[in-house]
Amino acid sequence: MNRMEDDLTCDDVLDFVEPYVDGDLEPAEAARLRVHLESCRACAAELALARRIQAELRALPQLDCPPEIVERVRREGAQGAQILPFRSPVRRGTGLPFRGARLGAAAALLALALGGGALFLRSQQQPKQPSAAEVARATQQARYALAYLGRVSRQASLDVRDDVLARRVVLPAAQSVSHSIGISLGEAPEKPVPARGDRAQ
Amino acid sequence: MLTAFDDTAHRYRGRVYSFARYLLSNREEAEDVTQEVLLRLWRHQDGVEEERLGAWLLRVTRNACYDLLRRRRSDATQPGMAASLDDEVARELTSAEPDPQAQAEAADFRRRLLGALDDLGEPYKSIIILREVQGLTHREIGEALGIPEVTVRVHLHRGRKKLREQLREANP
Amino acid sequence: MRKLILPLALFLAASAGQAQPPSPGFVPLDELNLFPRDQLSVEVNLAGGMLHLIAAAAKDDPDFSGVVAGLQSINVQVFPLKGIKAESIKPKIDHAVHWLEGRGWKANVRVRDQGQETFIYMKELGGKIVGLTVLTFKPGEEAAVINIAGRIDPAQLGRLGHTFDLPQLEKVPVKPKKP
Repeated sequence: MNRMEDDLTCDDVLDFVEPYVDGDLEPAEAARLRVHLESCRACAAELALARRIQAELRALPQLDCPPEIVERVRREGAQGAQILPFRSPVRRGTGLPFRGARLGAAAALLALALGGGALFLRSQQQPKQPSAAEVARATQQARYALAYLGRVSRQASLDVRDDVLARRVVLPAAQSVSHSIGISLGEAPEKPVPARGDRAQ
Repeated sequence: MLTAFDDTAHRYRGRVYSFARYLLSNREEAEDVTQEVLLRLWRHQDGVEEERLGAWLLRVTRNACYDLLRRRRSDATQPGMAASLDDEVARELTSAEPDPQAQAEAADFRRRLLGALDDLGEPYKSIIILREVQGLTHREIGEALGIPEVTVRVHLHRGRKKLREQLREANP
Repeated sequence: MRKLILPLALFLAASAGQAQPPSPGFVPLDELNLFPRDQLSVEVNLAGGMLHLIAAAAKDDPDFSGVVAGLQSINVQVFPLKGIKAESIKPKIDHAVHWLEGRGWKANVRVRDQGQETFIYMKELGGKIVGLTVLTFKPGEEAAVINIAGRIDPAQLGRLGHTFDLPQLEKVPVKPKKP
């Protein structure tokens, strides 16, 4: 009968402990690990610790939140609640909030204004109106979104405007409506407004 | 009479809150996140397939917690958050240990474990909570987080190894 | 006015125990799971009440105000692709395309040009456009998804897109407008 050689070092074993506890090791590897553990108290203690950690984690309870949160959501969702910034203070001027963002100095303000994305309801107060600064920040975000849309269209060598989309969408949609109510369309699409200079803020 | 939203919200609020509570350690923040997630459920429930609702809720919860943690990263560490979580956990659990000394040791180990979990980075923390605390399968976790099942297993092992290393150092 | 009646209608419907319909043009970007959120370079999530406030505050810019007033949500995610292989993102873009097409979104634009891909999808309801979703992917630079839901006039949107000139975004010179 062939005997499995224990060629595992303690460092190897320490890497294999968690997969072993989960039963994710190949049978041959598991067997070699057991052979090592029979003669290594330190590694055996590590295995015991790993098992205890898993057992303790699994014993942690599911925590429950107050059921009135659901009621609050129904109430505020029905009233069209605004989403307000989370209460934690946001530092100003300490750099870009997004990892990997590479905007220039002039755009740092825009990056700060974009903030952290999702906003949160206040849990213990009735929602109050956003501040002028918050609305200004959101306005910049909205302008950014529309500008990005315009840029994407230009880079695709397309204009999201009447003479292109009208042919593909606007007129066909309008025609389907007009067909149903018997009105014919004969007007030329409206000319685009000339581009402005600096946008007002 | 319960609406479909009521039924779904009551069914999932514990899982959402528990996930957020263990991720954030902070009760108020976890309640805020739960409220935000349920509000999004209210708005978009018709757009999400029933069988993917659980995964969607967990993903939205984790992202909401990420936003908070990202903002919190630049602030000073809030002391005592893991301790308050430990208090809440302790209230939920009844000790199976036979004597006071063993009970004290068990409570101390649990407190250190929660502290180590609180210090753990992502994605290990989320995966450990979802697998070990909430009991999701590897496949369910992969669906919730948008990663392959094998990656879930690897992260789970690495995360628990980090916990073991931290707890071993406290007990040389 | 429609906007004033809508919140009341929502309140009454909720009181009767009915769930609220989401905006049909809305796409839950979390559901698409396109990009890891903690690595986004830009994320915008604007909805409902905030958009009304933006429209009200921008009365000095009637084009912008008019467009925003009709919208129910604006969501953007931009993900930098420097150092990231295109093969890891392309399947997610394809999944998003299938997701949209499986839910009645119609592709108005599909452009593939030297590795860059752009998809513009629209959602129509009752002869009106209620949603616009743009997916764009340029290997080595960035990928993005934009979803706008509400009352959409593509012509108005297009005009606005031309008027906003954020230098840090403009890598391609704007084509001169034809007289």
